[in-house]
Amino acid sequence: MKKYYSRRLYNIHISDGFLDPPVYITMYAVSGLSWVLAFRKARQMLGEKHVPLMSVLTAGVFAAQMLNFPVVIGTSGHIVGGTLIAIFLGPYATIISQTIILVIQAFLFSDGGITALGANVFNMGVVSALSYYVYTAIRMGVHGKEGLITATSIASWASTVLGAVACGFELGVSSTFQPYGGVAMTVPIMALWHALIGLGEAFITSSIVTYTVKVRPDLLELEKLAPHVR
Amino acid sequence: MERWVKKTLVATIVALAMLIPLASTFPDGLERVVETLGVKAETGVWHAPMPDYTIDVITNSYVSTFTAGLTGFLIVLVVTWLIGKAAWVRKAKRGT
Repeated sequence: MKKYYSRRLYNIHISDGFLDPPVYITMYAVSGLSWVLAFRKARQMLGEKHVPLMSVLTAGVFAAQMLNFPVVIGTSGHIVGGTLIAIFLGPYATIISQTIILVIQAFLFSDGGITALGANVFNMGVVSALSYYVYTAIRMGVHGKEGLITATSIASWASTVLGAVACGFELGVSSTFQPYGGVAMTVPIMALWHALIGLGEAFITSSIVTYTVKVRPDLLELEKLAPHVR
Repeated sequence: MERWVKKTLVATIVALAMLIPLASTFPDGLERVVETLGVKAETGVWHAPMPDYTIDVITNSYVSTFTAGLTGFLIVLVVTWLIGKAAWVRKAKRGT
C-alpha cells in the first residue's frame, strides 16, 4: 500500500520527545502570552465580515499544510500559511488561526506534539504574525502591484526561514540534539532547507494574494486585526 | 453563505482531492535534519485517532488520506467559525 503521508515523527511541526521540559515550558509561556493578547485584542476588533474570511483561510491553510511539495535532493516542504492570514486579517488572526490548526493537527493527526504545541505555535504562528510588519514596511516603501508582490514574497519567505531558525534553536538547546552538535548544527541546517522551502511559500502566498486582488480586492481591504489600527 | 465562501471551499476540497496523490513523500525540512543527524527520539504518549492523516479502517491509501484530510478541513472550518462567531456575538451584545 502506497502511503501518501509518513510524517509521524519528524516534521517542521516538532513532535513530542524532541524538546526538553524547560524548553517546551518556556515556549508554552511565550505562546500563552501571545494567545491572551491575540484573543483579547481580536475580540475587540472582530467584525461580522472577518468571521467567514478567517474560517475559510484557516481551513485552507490546514489543507495546504497537508500537501508537501518537493524542494530539491529528496526533500519536501509544506507552506506555513501564517503570512497569508496576516496579510488578509492581521497578526492577531494569524496567532489564533495557527493555534486552532496546530491543536487539531496535534490531537487528531499526531502532526506535531502536544508538549511541543507552544513551540510550534511560536514558530508557525507568532513568528509569521510578526512577518506582517515586514509586509507593511515594504508596502510603505514600494507602492502598487510591485509593492504587493514584493512585500508578500519577502514577508512569507522570511516567516518560513525565521520560523525554522526558531525551531532549530529550540531543538538545538534540547538534550536530544546535543550529541549531534546542538544549535551550531540544527540552526544552519533548518535555515538552509527552509530558505529553499520558503521560495515555495513565497510563490504560493503571492499567487493567492495577487489572484484575490484581481477577483475580490475588497477581501484584502478588511480592517486588520493588528495593533494601532483604530 | 456568501458565494465566494462556497466557491473557495469547493475549490479547496477539489484541490485537496487532486493534489494528495501528487504530494511529495520525501522527508520535509525537519525530517531531513533529523535523518541527516541520525537523531533518535522517543515517541509521544498521545495516540491520535487519525495518525499521519490516515484512517485505520479504510484500506485504500488515497481514500484514507483524503477522508482524514477532509474531516480535518471541516473541523478546522467549523471550530474557527464558532470561535469567531462567539466572539463577535459577545461583542455585539456588549454594544461596542
